[in-house]
Formats: sequence, C-alpha cells, structure tokens
Amino acid sequence: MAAALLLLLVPPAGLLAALAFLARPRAAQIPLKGRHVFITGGSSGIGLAMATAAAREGARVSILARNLARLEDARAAIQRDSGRDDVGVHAADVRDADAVARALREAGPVDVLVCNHGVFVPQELERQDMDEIKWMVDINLMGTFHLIKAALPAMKARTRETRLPGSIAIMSSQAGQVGIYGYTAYSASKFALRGLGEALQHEVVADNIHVSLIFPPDTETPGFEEEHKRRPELTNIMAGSSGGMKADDVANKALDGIKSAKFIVPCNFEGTMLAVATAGLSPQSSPLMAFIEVIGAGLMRFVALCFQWNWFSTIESYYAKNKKSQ
Amino acid sequence: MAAALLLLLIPPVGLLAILAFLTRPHAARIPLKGRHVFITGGSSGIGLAMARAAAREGARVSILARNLARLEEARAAIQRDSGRDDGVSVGVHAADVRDASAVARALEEAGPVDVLVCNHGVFVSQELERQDMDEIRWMVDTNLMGTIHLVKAALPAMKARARETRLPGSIAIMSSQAGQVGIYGYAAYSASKFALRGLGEALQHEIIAHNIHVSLIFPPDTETPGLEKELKSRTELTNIIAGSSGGMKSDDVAKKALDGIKSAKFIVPCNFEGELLAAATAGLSPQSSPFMASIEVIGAGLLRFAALCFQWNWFSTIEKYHAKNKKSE
Repeated sequence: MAAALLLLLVPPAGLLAALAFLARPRAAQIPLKGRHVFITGGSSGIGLAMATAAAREGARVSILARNLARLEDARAAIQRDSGRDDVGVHAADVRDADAVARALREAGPVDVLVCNHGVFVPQELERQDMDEIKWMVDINLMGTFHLIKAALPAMKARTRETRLPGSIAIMSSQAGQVGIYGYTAYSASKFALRGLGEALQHEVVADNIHVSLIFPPDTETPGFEEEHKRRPELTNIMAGSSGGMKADDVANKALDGIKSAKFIVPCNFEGTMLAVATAGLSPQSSPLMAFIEVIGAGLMRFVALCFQWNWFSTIESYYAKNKKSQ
Repeated sequence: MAAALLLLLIPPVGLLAILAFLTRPHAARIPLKGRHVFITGGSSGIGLAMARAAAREGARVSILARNLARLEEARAAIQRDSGRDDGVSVGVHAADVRDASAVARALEEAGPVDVLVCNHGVFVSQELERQDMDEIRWMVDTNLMGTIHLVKAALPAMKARARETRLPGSIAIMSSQAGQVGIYGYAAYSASKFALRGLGEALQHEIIAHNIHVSLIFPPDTETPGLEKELKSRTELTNIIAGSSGGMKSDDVAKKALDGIKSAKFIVPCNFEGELLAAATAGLSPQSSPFMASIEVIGAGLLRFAALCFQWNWFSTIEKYHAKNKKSE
C-alpha cells in the first residue's frame, strides 16, 4: 500500500525536478531597500500606493505624472507615511519622449522602473472615437516604450556597478489576459505590453534585469471611477464576473511580485487562475509555479471555455431581450 | 477487458460531449463565392496569394495597398490566374492604412464588404534599446492602428450586409507567430501583433450578434518580399532563436488562411508547429470546434511543458551567446 502511494509520487516529483532544471530565467530576488524606484502614474491610485509601500521599505522613490500639484500632494503623503524626505517628483506626459527622457535624467539611474501609468475607457469599437483609441494606445503602449528606451542604458550600467538585479515592471490588467466586450482598444494596448515584455526579457536578462508584468483586476482608484461611468451595460454584466480590489492590496502584490522577479504577477486568486490559463509561452522562474501551470493547464482551458460559454450566452440573451423591447 | 477499454473511453467522450455544448461562438461556414472580399496588403506576399485564391473561388476581390502601380500589376496577375471566364472583378485601392480618411474613402468606393482581410503589416526586428522610436511607431501605427481604421470604416456596411444577405461575414486579421510569443528582437513587432489578439477577442464579443466572425491568422516566417527585407536587418541572436520555427510559402499560408476564414475559426494556425503553438497559447480565447477544444484541454499540460522547454532553450542560447561575445572582447 505504502509502496503504491510512493510510486504515485514519482511522476509529480519527477516533473518538479525536471522543471527545476528547465525553469528560466533563473529565480532572483530584487531588493528595494536603498535602491531607486521610479513609478509612473505615481500620484494616485495603484502608483501612489506602490510608491508609499516602496518608500516604507526603504527605497528612494521617484514619481512621474502629468499634474505637478497632484505630484506634490502625493509626495507629501508618501513622505508622511514613510518617514522619508527624498521622494522625487517629475511632471511629464509619457506620450512625450523628450519629456520622459528629461525626467529620467533628472531622477538619476533607476534600479526598479515601474511603468504603472494607464488610461482606459471602454466602448464598442464601432462607436468609440478614433481620437480616444489613439489616446489609449499612445499612453498605455507608446508611453511605456518611451520610458523603457529612456531608462534602459542607465539601468544596465547600474546593475553592472551594483551587481544587484534590476527590474522593469509593467502594469497590465486582466483585460491584458482576455479581451471582452467593450475593451477592444484597452485590451489591444494591454495585450501589446505582454508581447513587449516577453521579447524584452530576452533582451535584458543578460544585463541582470528582470521584467514583471502585473495583472490586477478592477481596482478601486480614481481612474476606475472615471471608467465606470462610461461602461456599456453589457461590459458591466460581463466584467462583473471579476472581483474588485483595493489599490493598497494590488500595490502589495505588485511589489511582492517585482521583488521575486516574477514574470507574470497576478493580484488575487482569480488572477492566479487567469495567469495559469494564459501562461502561453511566457517564461517561468519558479519550478513550483511551472508545476502548477503544467498540471492545471487542461482544467484551466476547460474553465476558460466555460467563461466564454457564459459570456456569449450573456450577449445572446441581451440582444434577444433588446430586440423584444423594440 | 473490453469493458475496461469501454470505461476508459467514457471520460474523453464525456468531455467531447460537454464541449459540444459549451463551445462558443456557434460554428459557422463563411462562403466566398459571389461575395466581396477586401484584402489589405493585397499587392504582394500573402495578401496577393489570398486575393488570387479568393478570386479562383468566385469571390469579387478588392485589394488595398500604398502603391498604385504594384496594385495594377497585382490585379492583372489575379485576373490571369483566376481561371474564370466571366472576367473576375478585382478592385484596386491605393491608400496608406495609417490614414483613416483614405481608408474610409477606399471602403466607400469598394462597396459593402463580406470578408475583410486586414493582412497588411510591416516588421523590422531589433533590440528595443537600439530601435528608433520612429520605426517602432511606424510598426504600431501600420499594424495596429491601420487595422483599427479598417475595422471601424468597414463595420457599419458589413453589419447591414450580413443582415440583408443573411450570410455570415468575416473580419480576418493577419497576426504572426510573433503574436503568440515574444522573442529577442521582436519587442515592437510582437507588441503590435499581440495587440491584435486583444482587439480580436473583444471584437468577437461585439459583433457576434451581427453574424460576423473574427479570425486571427498566425503564420510563421513566410517567403514574401516583406520577409526578405526583414531578414537583412535581423540580429544574429534573433536569427538563431527565430530559426526554431520553420518557414512557409505564401500560397500555402494563403490557403490555410482562407480555409480558416471559411470555417469561421477564431485562431487560424498555418502549419503543424503553428497548431501546437495555438493550443499552447489558447488562453481564454473562444473556440467553436468541440474537437479542437478537446485537443486544447487534453494537450494543454504537455504543451505548457513544451513551452517551458522552448524558453529553457532560448535563455540558454542567449546566455551562451553573451558568454562567447564577452570572451572575444
């Protein structure tokens, strides 16, 4: 009996061993204490929560946003909550490559770059203004390109001299793992960050820099309040399938993921399941997570198909109901 | 013994049955004969091959590209190769997809579309740190924004068309295996192609009620003028890593693409490797075929393991490459 049980353990143990050998990039710990953390969209919402948490851990924090007054409020809040006095503020629009480069020069070499800024307005593609779509793609995607290109050279030099790993963290969204009704432009911009992140990790691993993609669900932030006002009804019904979180909790999960150099950083249990379902060909440093991904992949695909069944049925009933009332 | 074998069959058959109930959107067939197929990037490469194949199947074809002279050569080639005596109708429209008004004008001239094929695309691989922001913007504007311009301009007439003909329409978007996995040198290109997937998943939700199906096509490196240009500037490391995927000919890609569009498949791979990649990256995308869904569910674990092997191989390659280059400094 005991022999049979032991025999049953061999395959999973063997798989775990194989994955311990295979998992790349190799695991790393990214310290925050005494290091320079640069956070965009840092004057409110998740960015502000991350800045506060990083400062409390002993990091020198720089925040970038468009509005100087709000940045200064944020600085005061961070310094008050962390007891530090060295928070840097930089007013710039991430769509402006020169302004971004200038801000990074002023801030000095970065150890942990957090591209957290983002805007989002859901609407059916047919009805959404091209200007609004461009706005989302420019800020969410092009803005992130600007930041990474401007920060990378100094980040590489920095990891070389300090011999400590650096991090480029990119705020995505559960909408960057699955596209749903009303999110064509936003999902496009967030899915793009994943392709960017996968390729970038290949390009910067030799410089001891780790890429982290963070996937929060709906989070209670000023940005979310704005978005909620514009949501189409059908998006509300469907997006309601995912639970919301508080900015501080998302910030904690995000920082934990960055410090563990995780490539994919989910923020709650649902997010972890979504991450396993959408693991695709992305890298995985943790043999344990890799094990869960391999074992759980089939079940997660089945669950994914159930979600799509639910969403398409919702769409069907919604249209049937609206046809009747016409 | 027979009873045991029968028992073993229950789970897979049960799974297939459940998936037959669950799979959405409902399967459909998209006819091409007698219908209007509009193909961007249609004067060369995969687009031209698709235009030829669609014309041979009896479709009225419109092609859009930037260069009028090349469009006219393409038209002549399509008409010549179509083997049709009725003088197959090929419309040509010169426009840059980055120009929303030009795109709208072209679609107005062409008339209501049944099958929109956003096949245009540009690609230059380079390390993100070294690539010019202008080149990055060019790729995103052409590949992503261009596609959005086309879809927005074509949709209203496509919806009306699907309503009056009572036949399903299709919006097909040319992605790439680089839109399923990002590798060294492809930050900008993969960003633009991954974006099309997010767009496609959401778009399918928005237009299913209008009987329009979205198809994302994922070819590997294909022998086209576009690829020839890209290969010239490929970095060595990208070459080694991208070499893990075999190449194909445009005609073969075109055939797979059209087959996928006609079967209203959401994800359309073009070769066996592509099928594996598609199953590995199925994520939360919809699946109309219960059979494909079963393969995805059953094969998911093994494919994730294979994916991790690929990443092990790629990261090892990168490590060795940098170690070798350090020695030679």
